[in-house]
Amino acid sequence: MAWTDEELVARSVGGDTESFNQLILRWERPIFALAYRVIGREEDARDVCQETFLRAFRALRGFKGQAKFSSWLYRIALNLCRDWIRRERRAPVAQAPEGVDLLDLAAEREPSESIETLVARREMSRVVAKAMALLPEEQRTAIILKEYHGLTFQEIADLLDCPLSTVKTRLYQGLSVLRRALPQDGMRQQPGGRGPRSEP
Amino acid sequence: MTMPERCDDSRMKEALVALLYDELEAGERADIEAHLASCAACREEASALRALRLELPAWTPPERELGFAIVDRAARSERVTRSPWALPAWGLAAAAALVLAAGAAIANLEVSYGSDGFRVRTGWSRSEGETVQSVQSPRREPSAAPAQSAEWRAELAGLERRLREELGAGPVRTVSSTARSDSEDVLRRVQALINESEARQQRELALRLAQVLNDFDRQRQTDLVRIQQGFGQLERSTAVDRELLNQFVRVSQQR
Repeated sequence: MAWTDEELVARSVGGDTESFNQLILRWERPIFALAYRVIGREEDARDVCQETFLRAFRALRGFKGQAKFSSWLYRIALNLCRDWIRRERRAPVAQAPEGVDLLDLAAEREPSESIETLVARREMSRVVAKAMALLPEEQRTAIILKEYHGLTFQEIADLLDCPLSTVKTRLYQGLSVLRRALPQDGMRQQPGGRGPRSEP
Repeated sequence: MTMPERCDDSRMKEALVALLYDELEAGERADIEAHLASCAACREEASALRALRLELPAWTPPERELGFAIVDRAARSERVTRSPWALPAWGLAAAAALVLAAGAAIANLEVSYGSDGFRVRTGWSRSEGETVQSVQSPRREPSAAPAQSAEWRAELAGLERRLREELGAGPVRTVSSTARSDSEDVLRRVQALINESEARQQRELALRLAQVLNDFDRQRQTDLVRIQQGFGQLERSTAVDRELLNQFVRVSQQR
């Protein structure tokens, strides 16, 4: 039987390190994805991810369950991302790798996908990343939390400490910029194109 | 929330976003859908935003192994201190023998025991001529043990004689002699292992060198044949050209 986050937190507070490691296993990829999309650098995103769990582990006794464990993690990660952006004194990079490594693509491709589709997908990833880099941090963060992590408006508002209407406005403004920046016939024409999803 | 009249009202945009993500508040859906039914501009915008959302999942983070974990310091130190001694004694002995054999094979180790005492030497200090000889003359390699080999064999034979004499000297010295005999026996076995390893390495090296030479020779012959064929074709082509030219000359002379 899989433990819930809350149960694993309770066991971790009781001194069971392995329970916390299960939480890490469950949430490290979404937290890494969040950090990567916000700051755009893989190595720094890994560092942020690692630091997020370290801080969470140290502060676990202070977590009283007033929010979901995942929301708490997201908040820590976002704060660390903001620190990173401030420290680096520059806008987030938010870029996908420039080169298209066909070996990587071949390794990760699904049997039904052709290599052409995969190359197009990687190219589209790069285009979207570049368009996202155009957005101000607040709009980009709102879109990342909504589009890629499936948070509700209210959860985003709580995380970002802003009113619900501000979240919707940021989303609208950000999407409008993306609409102008992205080509209109990107993934929609591709057979492998997929709809929005959330992680996990 | 009541729908505003103007399309550029911020509340209209919020409603559009809420519709897009299906998070409309109670009663909002009917209002916004009614507005969209009558407003082509908002309808088009809603459609464009839906299409845009289909493109966003293309942006994926790199798939890398993360594998973070909190390591309990106490448990880790226990693991570190306990695991080496968890091996049985025979396992440790076997591991030590393996390490010794591997080290000897890598370092080309030479161990000898003579009148001047116990001596260990690595083979890298041997003269270059000796190495070249073993590489260049692979057929002589099985009997390629140089003069040094004969020397330590003589020393070993002398050592064996002395040991036999010691063994026959009387019961008082039995314990120490037995201990020394054991150690000499181990020494001989190690030396035999080292010799075997050296011979094997030299055989493999010679074999590889011979293969390279064979490949090179084969390639050279193939290239020569191709060049000769090329020359043949060129000659034939030249002969045809010459014949044609002669024919032209003859025809022009007849006219």
